[in-house]
Amino acid sequence: MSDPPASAPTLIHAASVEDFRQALREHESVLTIGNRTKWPLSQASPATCFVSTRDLSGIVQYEPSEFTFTARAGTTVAEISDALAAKDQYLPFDPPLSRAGATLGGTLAAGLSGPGRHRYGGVRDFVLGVEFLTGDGQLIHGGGKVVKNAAGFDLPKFLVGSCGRLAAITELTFKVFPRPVAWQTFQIDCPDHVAAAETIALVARQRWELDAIDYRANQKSVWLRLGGEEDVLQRIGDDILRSIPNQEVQRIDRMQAAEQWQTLGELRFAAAELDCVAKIPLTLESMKRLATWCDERPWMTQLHTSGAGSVGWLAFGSQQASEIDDALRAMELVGLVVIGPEGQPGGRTVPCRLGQWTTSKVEAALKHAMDPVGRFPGMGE
Amino acid sequence: MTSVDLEGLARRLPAGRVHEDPAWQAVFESDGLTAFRQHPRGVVIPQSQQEVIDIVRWCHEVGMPFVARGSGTSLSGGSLPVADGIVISLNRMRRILQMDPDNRTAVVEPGVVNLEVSRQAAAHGLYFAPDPSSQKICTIGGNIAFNSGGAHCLKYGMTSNHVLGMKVVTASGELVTLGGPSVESVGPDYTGLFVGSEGLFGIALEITLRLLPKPECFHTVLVGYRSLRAAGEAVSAVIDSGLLPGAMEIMEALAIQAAEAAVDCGYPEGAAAVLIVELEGPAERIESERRQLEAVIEQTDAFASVVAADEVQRAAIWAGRKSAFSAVGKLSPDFLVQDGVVPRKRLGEALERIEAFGKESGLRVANVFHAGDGNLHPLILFDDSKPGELERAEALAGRILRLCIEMGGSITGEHGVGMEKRAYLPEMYDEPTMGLMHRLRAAFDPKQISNPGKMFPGAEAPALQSHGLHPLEKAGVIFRE
Ligand SMILES: Cc1cc2nc3c(=O)[nH]c(=O)nc-3n(C[C@H](O)[C@H](O)[C@H](O)COP(=O)(O)OP(=O)(O)OC[C@H]3O[C@@H](n4cnc5c(N)ncnc54)[C@H](O)[C@@H]3O)c2cc1C
Ligand SMILES: Cc1cc2nc3c(=O)[nH]c(=O)nc-3n(C[C@H](O)[C@H](O)[C@H](O)COP(=O)(O)OP(=O)(O)OC[C@H]3O[C@@H](n4cnc5c(N)ncnc54)[C@H](O)[C@@H]3O)c2cc1C
Repeated sequence: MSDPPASAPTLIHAASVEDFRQALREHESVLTIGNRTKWPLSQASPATCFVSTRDLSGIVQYEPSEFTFTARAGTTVAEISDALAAKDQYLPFDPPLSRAGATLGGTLAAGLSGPGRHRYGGVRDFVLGVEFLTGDGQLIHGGGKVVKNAAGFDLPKFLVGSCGRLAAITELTFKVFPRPVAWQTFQIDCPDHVAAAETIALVARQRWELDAIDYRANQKSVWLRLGGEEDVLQRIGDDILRSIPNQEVQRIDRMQAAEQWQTLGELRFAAAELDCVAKIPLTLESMKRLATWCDERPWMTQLHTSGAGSVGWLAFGSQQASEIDDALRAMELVGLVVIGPEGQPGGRTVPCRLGQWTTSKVEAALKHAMDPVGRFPGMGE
Repeated sequence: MTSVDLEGLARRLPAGRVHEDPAWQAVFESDGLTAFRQHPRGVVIPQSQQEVIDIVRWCHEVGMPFVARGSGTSLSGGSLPVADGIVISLNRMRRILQMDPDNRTAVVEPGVVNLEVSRQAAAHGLYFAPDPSSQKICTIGGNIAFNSGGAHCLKYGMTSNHVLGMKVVTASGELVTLGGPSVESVGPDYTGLFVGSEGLFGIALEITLRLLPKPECFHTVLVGYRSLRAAGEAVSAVIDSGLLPGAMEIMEALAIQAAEAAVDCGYPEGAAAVLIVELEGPAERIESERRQLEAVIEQTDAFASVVAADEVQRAAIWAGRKSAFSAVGKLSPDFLVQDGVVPRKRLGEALERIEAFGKESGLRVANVFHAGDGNLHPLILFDDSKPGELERAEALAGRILRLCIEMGGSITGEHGVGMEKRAYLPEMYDEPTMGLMHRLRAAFDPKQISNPGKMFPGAEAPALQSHGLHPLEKAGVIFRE
């Protein structure tokens, strides 16, 4: 470990739990980071010591016949996906930013799931166990390593979305599923957001077991993704083409579809000048409102939703952050900015929380329970 | 003895909410784990969220312990009253406040019965996936507290995977909203933390549930094996083939015999074990997957195989399985049931060890289990009227729990720790982890008044008595898996 130059924040590459512990002992403020894929989430004051999990990486155990694996927090999602694919398995929730180098710890801590969360659930629904350090350096083992476990409080779920502010995660155990052999994507072009919301509600209730139901709001097109054996895709696909009244449905060429999902998975679906992306929990009602608001500002916003209208990915320009903030407040929505312009270490480029965040006494008490010495900075600090 | 008078509470509530007479105390003295009995100080039956909030705030002010109670079907003593505390019975709060077919969610009060949600959702082609076998009677509040499961956990997860948000009054009287109406949220997953907290954090007042489209088709197969090991290997073969069945269940000989005697289910004669595999989904998918399943089963050491041709035959296959517990209960005056989990590939080994433990203690053990997720349900048969049998049964149960821990599994897959397994939680989690759980509990409940004495070892337990069927099982109202 080395002393930082007077002004620049310290960066440590922890290669072991002990390195993490030492950082927690020696620094007043500590924030864990993965591979810099979600910059805005780890903005903190220059006094913060950033502990990177880059060297805390590797799959510890993978048991295909148990549907489980355990890996260190800094293992990239890409490495895991490759290992799983070799055994025809996958994480069905499409962890975002995989190409960019997202880590497993960062994915869980940021609480991000992609389009595939629609069918079987998101990162919260697949995490089984977690090893982490509390602010006072205690090594905790929460959850378990088997697919079913109801003993004790559900610590793995608690850390989903905690953004490094409650714990430093060192190792994770996940459930995995068998991977479909192929996918087919369908596109339904709708006249307006109301029709789109109706279409989404309709297809989400059908018998088809769709993997993903997404909506590209500026194009008013609904995307459906179905996974399975070729003949199943063909036959259910025929039924989908038949079953949607008044709307034109088309099968999308596989290569083109793969690229679309890929671009979305990297959260690069908007024009480059829209340099921020916020995650916004939605319902179909609020999706329509937000989409309509965006229609009036096409130069500064672009909205994509996943999970049958339940989560919005709003791309916007960093200059417009405060306008977005006001709009979300007015709509009683919250946003977490996960992509933003990278600044100088110790600097700040964009607020990571937009809209109507609320806090409660019990949240503060829980933070204190996880971090009695106040090592982990708050989200706004 | 607390010196606090329940009069103070009664004054804050409409008349007729607080009951202190012995008849009421007796009704609530025990839950699904009839081994423990404890008269509460009183029973309070609120009719609205505000009344629950008022009660909890009063408890916090005066330091009165309370136990939230749904239908009292907990199998681990979770809803057992505490001495000198009150029971807050939530059964009157059973309104479904909103059914939203477009977003596929339902907002319910905690006293709503599990199956009622699916009944109401059926009109929209939807259902609530968690299906504990007590679903005709257990409440959503109880499901939340225990993160309850059922036969379909491998594919769809437990209760927690189907809860989006809730309104909660914490044990310190704070009213908070966790999660929200969407399946996604931002910030720490407080909803995920609350589910499975066994009533130690406070009371859920309003819960937003996720609903799923009802599966179009089921394909149910019953396969007979000459050995338990062969059945266990078949489970691994199914998993390795890339299939993801909705349910995979195994019953072994003693349980099969009992079920035959009880419901005449017509399982393959002479089977040492039967395996039930159920695929579910759209017709096109099932058609393809059933061929795959047939090929896999053919490769296993099966001697008989029955495919349900229609809904009646499917129900017949499940009847044997669903009746197994109560049927085994009839073989013996008393029984104990555990629900530990082991890694799936070690199921065979675990069952052999359990059999050996049984022989050593001179007690019979019947096994029925959720094989797909390694969730054992060993039933230890004994006769409480014979001196020492209860103690031997308890000791055997303890050995099984330790075996699950040793194999890298869990002491409970769905019934929760409650009163029953609290001594074993520190064997599963190390000291710092236990310490953190105490700290988290204190964040919600600094005075330790919400369901004290459960989950964590320490407090005095009422004496063990007998172990038998839940009164409602005896009456044939509910069955367990
Ligand atoms: C030398 C250096 C100095 C930096 N200085 C600053 C600075 O002064 N100001 C500033 O704003 N940013 C600073 N950063 C942050 C950096 O640019 C990225 O924003 C950061 O690495 C983001 O990580 P990520 O995208 O991989 O996110 P992920 O790794 O995907 O992480 C996303 C979220 O998860 C949390 N997280 C990740 N892994 C874990 C884990 N194992 N346990 C618990 N939580 C976890 C993170 O804290 C973050 O909230 C600095 C980074 C470096 C390398
Ligand atoms: C025959 C039988 C079969 C069963 N089968 C299964 C099965 O297949 N799978 C399974 O998982 N379980 C099963 N169980 C166990 C039991 O039914 C479940 O644990 C169920 O969820 C309990 O619900 P309840 O309403 O009876 O809760 P109760 O027993 O009344 O309470 C259980 C716990 O929940 C707490 N609680 C209740 N309401 C609230 C609330 N609103 N907020 C906070 N805490 C609350 C209580 O304090 C208590 O700790 C079975 C039980 C029986 C008797």
